[in-house]
Amino acid sequence: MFCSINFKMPGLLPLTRRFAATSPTRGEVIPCALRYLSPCGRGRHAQSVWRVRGIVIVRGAVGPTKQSSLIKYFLSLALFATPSSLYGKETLTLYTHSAFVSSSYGPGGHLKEAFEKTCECEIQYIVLDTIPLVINRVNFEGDQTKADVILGLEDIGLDVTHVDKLVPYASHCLAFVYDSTKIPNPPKTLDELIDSSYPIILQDPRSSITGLGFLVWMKKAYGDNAPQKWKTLAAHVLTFTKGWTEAHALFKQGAAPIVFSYTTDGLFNELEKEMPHLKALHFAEGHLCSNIYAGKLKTTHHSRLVDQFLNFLLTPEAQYLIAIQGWIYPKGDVPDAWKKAENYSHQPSWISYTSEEVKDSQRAWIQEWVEGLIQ
Amino acid sequence: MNYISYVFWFTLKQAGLSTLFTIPLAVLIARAIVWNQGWWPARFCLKLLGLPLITPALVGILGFITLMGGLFNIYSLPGIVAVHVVFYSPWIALLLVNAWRLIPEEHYRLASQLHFSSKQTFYFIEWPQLRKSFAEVAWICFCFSLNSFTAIMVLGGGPQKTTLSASLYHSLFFFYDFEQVTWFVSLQLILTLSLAALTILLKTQPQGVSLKKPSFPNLKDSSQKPFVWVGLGLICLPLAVILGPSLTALSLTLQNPLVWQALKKSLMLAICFGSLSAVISLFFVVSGWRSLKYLASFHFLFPSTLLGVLLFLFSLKIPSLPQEFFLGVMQVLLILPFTFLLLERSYHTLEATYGTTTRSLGLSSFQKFSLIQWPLLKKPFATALGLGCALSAGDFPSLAFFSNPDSPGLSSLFYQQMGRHFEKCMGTALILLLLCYFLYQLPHWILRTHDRTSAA
Repeated sequence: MFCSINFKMPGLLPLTRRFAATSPTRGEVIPCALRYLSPCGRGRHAQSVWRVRGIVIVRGAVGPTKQSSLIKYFLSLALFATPSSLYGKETLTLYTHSAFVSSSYGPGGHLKEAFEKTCECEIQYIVLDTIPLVINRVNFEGDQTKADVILGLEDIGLDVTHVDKLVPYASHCLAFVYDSTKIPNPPKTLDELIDSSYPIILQDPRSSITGLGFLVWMKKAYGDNAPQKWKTLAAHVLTFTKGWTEAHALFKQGAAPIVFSYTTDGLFNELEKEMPHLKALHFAEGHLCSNIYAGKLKTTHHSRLVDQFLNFLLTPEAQYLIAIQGWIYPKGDVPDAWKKAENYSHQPSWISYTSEEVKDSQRAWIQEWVEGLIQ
Repeated sequence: MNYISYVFWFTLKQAGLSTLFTIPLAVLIARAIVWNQGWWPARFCLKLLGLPLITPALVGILGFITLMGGLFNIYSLPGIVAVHVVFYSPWIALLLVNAWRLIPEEHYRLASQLHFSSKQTFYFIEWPQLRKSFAEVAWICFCFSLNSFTAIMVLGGGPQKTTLSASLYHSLFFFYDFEQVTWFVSLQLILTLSLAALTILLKTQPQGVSLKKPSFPNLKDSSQKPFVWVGLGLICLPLAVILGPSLTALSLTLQNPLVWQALKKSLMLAICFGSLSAVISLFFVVSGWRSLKYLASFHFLFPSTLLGVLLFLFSLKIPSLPQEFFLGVMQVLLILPFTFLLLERSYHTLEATYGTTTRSLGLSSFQKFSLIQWPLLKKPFATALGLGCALSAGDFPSLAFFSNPDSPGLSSLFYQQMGRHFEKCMGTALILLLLCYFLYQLPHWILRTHDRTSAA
């Protein structure tokens, strides 16, 4: 059963609404359980502020589920849905971002398949565009949330208000990705890059978590000198985009030879996209890296199953899937295919920072950044 | 300087620079057209000058990016100014050609008897007559650039390159900085009000068109012909460069069900809101609420983002109303001035020509409308209807505020694709462009307007 989720809110929460409005998951086909979608589509969760409408895709044909048509509803149930509740299966609801589950990308689908073999249960993903959105939504739903686990939490922007337990299951490092056909002798340190004149695409730290990551990186690397360094860098920044996706689209168009992204982009471009000339810059002095966590919600009713899932995430099988499909560093060994790749290099050393520190100083740092740039 | 005053300053700076470059270019194009009336490219160029108005701004910007992308950094102040120059100069040239028509033919005859050179004619005859019009169009161009939203959304970015309109939108929807939103809204409001005050003070709202059917003197100056080509280039090149790639991408785009959904939605909304604006304008014009003309002629002052924010706040207060309602209100309010002014101008001529006759015949108002006014207003009404529908289909600011995530309109889908999957957006661009041109022509076909009524 395939369905796609569109989020529509009745206008109570402008923030979340706007996030949902720009969600790339719209129209994307993602595997999830009909059981969740149908009751929502039927409006039984009227007390919930979120309304979820499913587009059921059967044999490639797309059509919105007619909420008014009772017959179609029962038909679809009878024909296609596995009424898992009848078998007494437990359902694990995972909130995550589109990098984890989408039609063409992410380990989510494979993990679901692998885990469901080991338990009498069913996994359903609720996918939002980005992790800040997921956090926003959980905070908004509060105790009423249906989420059992949040997948994809990072050290930057970490919010543990509703989280009981954090399990780091992977990590990633931010890096500049460049086109080696345009830059034969790439900069070797952050300093060299800042002093170079290559056009760079960055993300706006006010709206993007990657952009915020680089802001933290600059602050950690240069401390009080950061504004001056920003000034030098900004002279050859092509533009600050709203988010990572926009930056990546501009880079793919060839608008600039360098974009701010992740260290594993080089691997992805080589192994998946057959574009080995798009490589990541590795700086010896270290990168801004972050653990990626699965967070168990305080309000979950499936505590035992959640623990089972969290343990499963750390098994070699799951770790392999996370690395090979999600393009982030697993907690154990990296896949052999990576080691053989031309663009592979060891995980860089980590610049030290804490998520509390980022949370506390974020506002001040952004203020400093804005004012530094416009002077 | 703090951030807010920087944004204010940047807004003024880019608008000033845009005006500075647009006006001379527009003057050169307009003059080249007027001076080469008999030459077919000039006549063709004159016909096309209005095209940028119904071309969706986003498609134009895509063309601009494709055209200029390799030449210099377009994501910068020069890029923003250049895109304004490319878009506004043909349209400003159109306003200027209309102003040129007010120069009495006799002046040119005198000039040719005195063997004035082209430069002398400009200095002694055209400049004194057109000085006021130049100031007017410069003011309009300045205000338009000041409120420019779409260009900044695509080409701006970061704290350095943003205008009041764009940062207002970003703080509201992406940064969640409500203190800044309040600041930007107040600044925008103050700016708009002071511009309105200045407009009244400087008496620069556009003049009415003369009753006399404009006839151009038979002027010839081949040295100006290159500027006709410049004009044609500015209008056609940005569209021509995307034609090839978009035709190749079209087959893929047509397989995307989202595009079809968006097309259907945009078509429906455009026909609804476009005709609504045209009908409301017709009602206002015929029922004699012509004092609205004064209000409508200020349309270039009012920033769409301000309207968007106000309506958005309303929509939060009344969550039971659908987004489409607010989208409709916003679009109708944005389109109304254009359709109203268009109809009002024709009605003005009509009243001056037939007003006394109809009154002396003692026709009832219904008879007057059905026998005299409608046949003559049919063509301008068709144009207003087409313009309304095309503007509604191509409008981006209103969709930026009230886009339904379930089913985006074609322009918001296109904006999304432009930022996320660039390779997909070319096909959508072509569909959007064709939709707007089709909607513009449609009422002419339906109402079967022909040239008999063009005297009105």
